[in-house]
Amino acid sequence: MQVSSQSQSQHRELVAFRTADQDFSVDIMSVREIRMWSHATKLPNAPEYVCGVINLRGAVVPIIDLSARLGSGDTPTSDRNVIIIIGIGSKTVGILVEAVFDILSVPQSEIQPPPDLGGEKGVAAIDGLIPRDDGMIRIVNLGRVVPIADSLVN
Amino acid sequence: MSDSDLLQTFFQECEDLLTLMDEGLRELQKGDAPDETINSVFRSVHSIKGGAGAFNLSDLVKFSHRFETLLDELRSHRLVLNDRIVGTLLTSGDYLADLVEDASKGRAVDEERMERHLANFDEFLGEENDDQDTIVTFQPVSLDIGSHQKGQNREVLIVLRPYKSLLFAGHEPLLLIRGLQEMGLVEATVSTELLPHFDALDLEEVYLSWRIKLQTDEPLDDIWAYFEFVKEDCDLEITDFSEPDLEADPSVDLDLNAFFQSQGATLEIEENETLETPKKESDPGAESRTGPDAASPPGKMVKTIRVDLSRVDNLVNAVGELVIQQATLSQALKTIRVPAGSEVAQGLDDLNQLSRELQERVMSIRAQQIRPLFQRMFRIVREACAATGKKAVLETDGDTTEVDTAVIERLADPLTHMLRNAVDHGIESPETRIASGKPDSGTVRLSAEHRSGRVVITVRDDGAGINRAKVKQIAETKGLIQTDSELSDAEIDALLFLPGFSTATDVSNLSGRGVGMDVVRNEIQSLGGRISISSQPGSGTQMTISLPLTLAVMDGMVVEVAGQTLVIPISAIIETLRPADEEYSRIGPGQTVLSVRGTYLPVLDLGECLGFGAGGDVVIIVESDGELPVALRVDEIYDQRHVVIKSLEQNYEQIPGVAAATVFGDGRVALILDPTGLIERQLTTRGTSAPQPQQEEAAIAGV
Repeated sequence: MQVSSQSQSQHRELVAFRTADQDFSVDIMSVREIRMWSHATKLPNAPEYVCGVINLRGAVVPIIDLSARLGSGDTPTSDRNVIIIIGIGSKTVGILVEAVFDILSVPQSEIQPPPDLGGEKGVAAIDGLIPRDDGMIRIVNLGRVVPIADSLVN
Repeated sequence: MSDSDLLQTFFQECEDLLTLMDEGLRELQKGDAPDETINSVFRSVHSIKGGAGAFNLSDLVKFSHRFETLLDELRSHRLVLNDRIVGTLLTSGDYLADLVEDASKGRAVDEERMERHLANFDEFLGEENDDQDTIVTFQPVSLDIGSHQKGQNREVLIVLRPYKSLLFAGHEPLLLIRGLQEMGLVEATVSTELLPHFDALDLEEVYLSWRIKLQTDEPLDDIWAYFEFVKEDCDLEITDFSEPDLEADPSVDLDLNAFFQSQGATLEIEENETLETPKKESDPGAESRTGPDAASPPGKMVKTIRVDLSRVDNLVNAVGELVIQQATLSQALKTIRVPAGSEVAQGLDDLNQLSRELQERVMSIRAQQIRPLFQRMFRIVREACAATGKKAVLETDGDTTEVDTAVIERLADPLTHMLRNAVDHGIESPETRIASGKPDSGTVRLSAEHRSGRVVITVRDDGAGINRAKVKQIAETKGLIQTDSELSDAEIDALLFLPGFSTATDVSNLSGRGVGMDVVRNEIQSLGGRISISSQPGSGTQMTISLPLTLAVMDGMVVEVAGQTLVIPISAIIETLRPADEEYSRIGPGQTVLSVRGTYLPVLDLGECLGFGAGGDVVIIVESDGELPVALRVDEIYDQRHVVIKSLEQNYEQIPGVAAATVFGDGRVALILDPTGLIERQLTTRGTSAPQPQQEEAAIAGV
């Protein structure tokens, strides 16, 4: 019992998803729910990675196309796309991704910091890397990816 | 209620009292003050002192005590009101407000300032004699107006008629009566008059009632409190038989009483009837009360309750959802083609009306008179005058205009700033005014009114007006406009709203605090409102704020532009047309005008403005802040709908030209347009070189 509770505290629970042919994950604590894609109302003069807004039980929530946000082009339209609703600061934001595939519990020791590639912005979007046999899973830095939360996260 | 809640309530109450006091002081300033005015000021100050004493706010007590002493002298005509005294009263009133604020924020009091203000009283009252002790020992006020001081035995008659629900709830009259013994001597007689014949006896019914004589020195409220848990389940009368020995000024304690019996935010709900009040007819000397709430003065039947604002907000939200659900239902019925005259359709119509009414009533709970806010502005003008050496009086109009509570709160800062500006930049110095043939004292008019579904607030001064040449020159020096740009008067006036603009050549300590009119405008815009300015050289400047009446629901026209559905507020729409091609004319590059009954109106393509693509051939003419209305091109007009306003800022950010969002019956989100904001933005981008904030950040590089 003792061992398990101890190892639990050193694990990070993550929701893993796929978009732009890459594997990503976000901390499970920030995920409010996962929804099927639904029509988003376009916003005028919004950055192109903002798909628009949807109605989430009466609240108007913006949707961010993660692939476009990371510079990998718009996520191809598909009914199988999903929206991960996340809470960040006092705001609720949806992230459009292609598919959610797993919930991971990763020991903290396995998470590597992202290498310093020089470009400040690019690295800042990713918090850490989890090596896998078939590649790696990137941990998304939500504070950087969700621009409107910048002020909340510094 | 915890202590901190009580304290909170005290400060809220203080605000009301200060407003009342300020109002009275202004009347005194005008000269013809009846005794009642001095009394009312006295009562306000006294109530603040009383509350402050209960919370051990000694600085507040100390000052308000001296203040009150001066007022008392005036009240009893031992001193006669003159200009000097009025001056002292006014500054003392302002200082008292500061002390209350300090106390509410837990800030330490500036001793030196306090001494200075206290010293002001000495001229009229003589040196402060050593009555300090009486102040410090101010009793944590007993909340009962009729109660005697400690040590005096009183005789209280309690009549208790339990309902059967009292027994069902597990209470036992015997134990209740025995429990009373802790308060004093109890003598109880049971009345069996109502006991029916044995055959008719209902075993679950209560037929007995008790008359209990209680000799006690507990205040009446405590006796009421003792019965707190059973008072719903019985008829209860508690009568104080001893001679009521009221304090010199009972009304003051009434006010105090109110501190502790009310709670929550300030929202007033009218209630036309008092609680059922079985008043004792006999014993004129006795003071009969049905409960703590009955303490309101006779003749004043309007009852108010204080309700936490969030509760009302929840109600507003729930009603909003109701409206959406109803829209969903209407849409569903339309889809299955329910005939118009059928019962279902009629029922839905009725429901429609009811929900509209419900919504209006709920909104009216949130609505508050703008008066308290306006009252606060008198001080602002007074201080602004003192700081600048100018003379100005504030006149208000439309104090009773009702505005949403949230709006009132958020208007305080912008209005303060505008009024300071009006005095600092608008009104000229007395010498200049006299030289230009005006009275030496300027006038600032603050008015509010309802105009076509919006609240319009204007601030007008009779000062020199905007010095346009200077404004333009400053804008040029600061690089806000190009040096050779030709600007119309209105465009120059609008420069005042640009960030980083300040006309005061030397930054005065009053309005030049780095907060410009741009901050004011942002605040107004975030309320869904707009602000405009107009000025007549030599005769003054007028600033107009126009705000939506409610922040929850509005009537909108549903239109389609480039495949997107949008809502345009009905209040902004003048008319809709489908003009023929030849009615459009091109003037200049990319600019089109539309001839409507001989007037050429500027045309904006809504789709292009919003970046959705070209719009169609239907035109909606909307109001604008400019001289002319503007024609907006859209593809299609659908219908008029009651839409619920949903915040975009809650999870996203403000979008220029978009007021808010709404949710339709089918669950889709549609944007509500802010025509004026949109037009202003489009026209300014075309005209001057004002840069639009571009897409803030390019996409972050991939990994």
